[in-house]
Amino acid sequence: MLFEWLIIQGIIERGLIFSITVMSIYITSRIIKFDDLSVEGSFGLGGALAALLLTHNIPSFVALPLVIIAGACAGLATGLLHTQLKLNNLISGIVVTTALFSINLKIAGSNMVLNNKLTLFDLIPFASSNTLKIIILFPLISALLLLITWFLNTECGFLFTAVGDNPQMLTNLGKNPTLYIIGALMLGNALTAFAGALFVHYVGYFSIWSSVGILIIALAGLIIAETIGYGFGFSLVVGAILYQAIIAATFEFNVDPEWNKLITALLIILIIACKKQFALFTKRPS
Amino acid sequence: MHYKNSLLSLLIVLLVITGIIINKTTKKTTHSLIKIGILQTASHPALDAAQQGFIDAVKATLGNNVEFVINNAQGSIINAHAIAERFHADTSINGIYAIATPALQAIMAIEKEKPIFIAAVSNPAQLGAITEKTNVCGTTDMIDIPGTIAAIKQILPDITSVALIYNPSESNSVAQVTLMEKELLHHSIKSIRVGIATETEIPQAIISALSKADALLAPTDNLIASAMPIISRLAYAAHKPLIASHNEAVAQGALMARGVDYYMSGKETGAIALSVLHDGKKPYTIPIAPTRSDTIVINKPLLNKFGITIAQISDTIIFIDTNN
Repeated sequence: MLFEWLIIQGIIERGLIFSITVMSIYITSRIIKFDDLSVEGSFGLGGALAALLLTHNIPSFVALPLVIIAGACAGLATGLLHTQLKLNNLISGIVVTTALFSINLKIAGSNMVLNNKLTLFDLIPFASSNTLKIIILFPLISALLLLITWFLNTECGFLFTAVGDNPQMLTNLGKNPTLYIIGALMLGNALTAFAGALFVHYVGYFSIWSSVGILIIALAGLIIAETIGYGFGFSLVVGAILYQAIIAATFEFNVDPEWNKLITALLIILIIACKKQFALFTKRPS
Repeated sequence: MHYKNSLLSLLIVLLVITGIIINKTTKKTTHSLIKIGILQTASHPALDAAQQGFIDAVKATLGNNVEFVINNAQGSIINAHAIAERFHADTSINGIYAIATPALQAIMAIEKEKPIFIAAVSNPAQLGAITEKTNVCGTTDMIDIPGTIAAIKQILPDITSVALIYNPSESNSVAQVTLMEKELLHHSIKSIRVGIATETEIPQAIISALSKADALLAPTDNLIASAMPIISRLAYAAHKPLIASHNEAVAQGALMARGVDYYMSGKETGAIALSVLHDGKKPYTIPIAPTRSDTIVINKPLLNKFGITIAQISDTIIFIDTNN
């Protein structure tokens, strides 16, 4: 039983961390309808900065806000490129990710080991062991989720939604849509950078390669989340966890490793196809 | 609606759990004595050779009493962690073989008890793997750089400039390139750094490097290793020698290599794994050893194409015949 639990626990832990990127993608691609590709860059940026600050003995309560600010700056860059220089949204994201790759290399090199520095998970003594990381992650992610949910229901939050649906309405209200686009991008990238920092704290080292594939993880998590529930909510966390479960299940099938990616793909298709099936059943009575 | 959706997610979780259980129970039928989990960072000939060498060495002694669970992270750090967790959780696995640095880092972060055997890792000490009671042992792939440069000087005496092709985001490559620069300077050969970050940039970067230098020299770099066929084809077209740091590259069209034979590397790690799992040695009593790298491997047809005759050399030379 211990065997199963350890694997499931790992799935939940990674899922919780990546759920922050799923939230970020939700804010950009669903709320302001801006497909933001800069997440791969800001995830690495958060990780690199967290590793650098940690190895210089900067305490986490100073380091993590700095990471969030750095992420917001990445979002600001994407936003300015798009709104001021009128770059296509995909291109602005790509440009920022590309530039951040070099910056991340300069910050932390290709590989930075934390060498048993006190991470976020060491703050609560009994959570440092492998078994209890969820104790820190779960309340943290829940709090973040509640905070953003609350924010999206404020007047400012409603205007974010309005930017995506009907930018003209903002102009009519005498508000500047540009400001809200940039704001949402800053929020999204700040979240992703925070996720990157958490991941570094979680695994104990920074690697320039850890951000590769984050976009896919976040998007797949979002798509799965949308088959479970609608809107910004706990379904985003479940989606991220389910995607990690799919990856773990792929390895459990224990086939020739060359088939791994195909199996991951098939599992994703299975989930989405299931959803379609369920949707048919629920629609028929009405 | 919501009820059905939660049902769906429950179904998926159950599916994963049954998968794990089925997997576990079916494996119980084969009562092998030793089970080793292999965590490979990515697929390319050098790392595949390290895997094969290990399996061959372990099988030679244990025969059918050993079982391997082979998993490949396909270059993703997150996948590497998922695999590492699985190996850690599976109590029937006695030891883990980590191929290349990312695999070691992933497994090291989780597994503190089971022995970890390594190959294709350049600097385990820098990763914090070498502690007093470490559970990590095996071989490194650090190459003998002064020896390599001396061999280049002997075989290709007319070379005045060398382009160092590497990926600036691989720490082992950066370390080796810095040493190579110093050593080339020592032999008064000019060196030009050509950093390549992704596979798609390779053709342009290599063409530009070939126009600037007399020869190409690569460290044991994962990106360069996976792109060896295209790099060697471009070098061949430009009529310039390509020198690699892993011997498998010569069969793929490099002129020469005086580096790591990853198959041998895997074999040596396999022998170390046997001494731990079979003879009961403790990993921390076994020092991590570099792989032997004093053999020069040369591509015979290319040597003839360049019209090089080899003078007396103290190193052992192996000629490989390829139809390039």
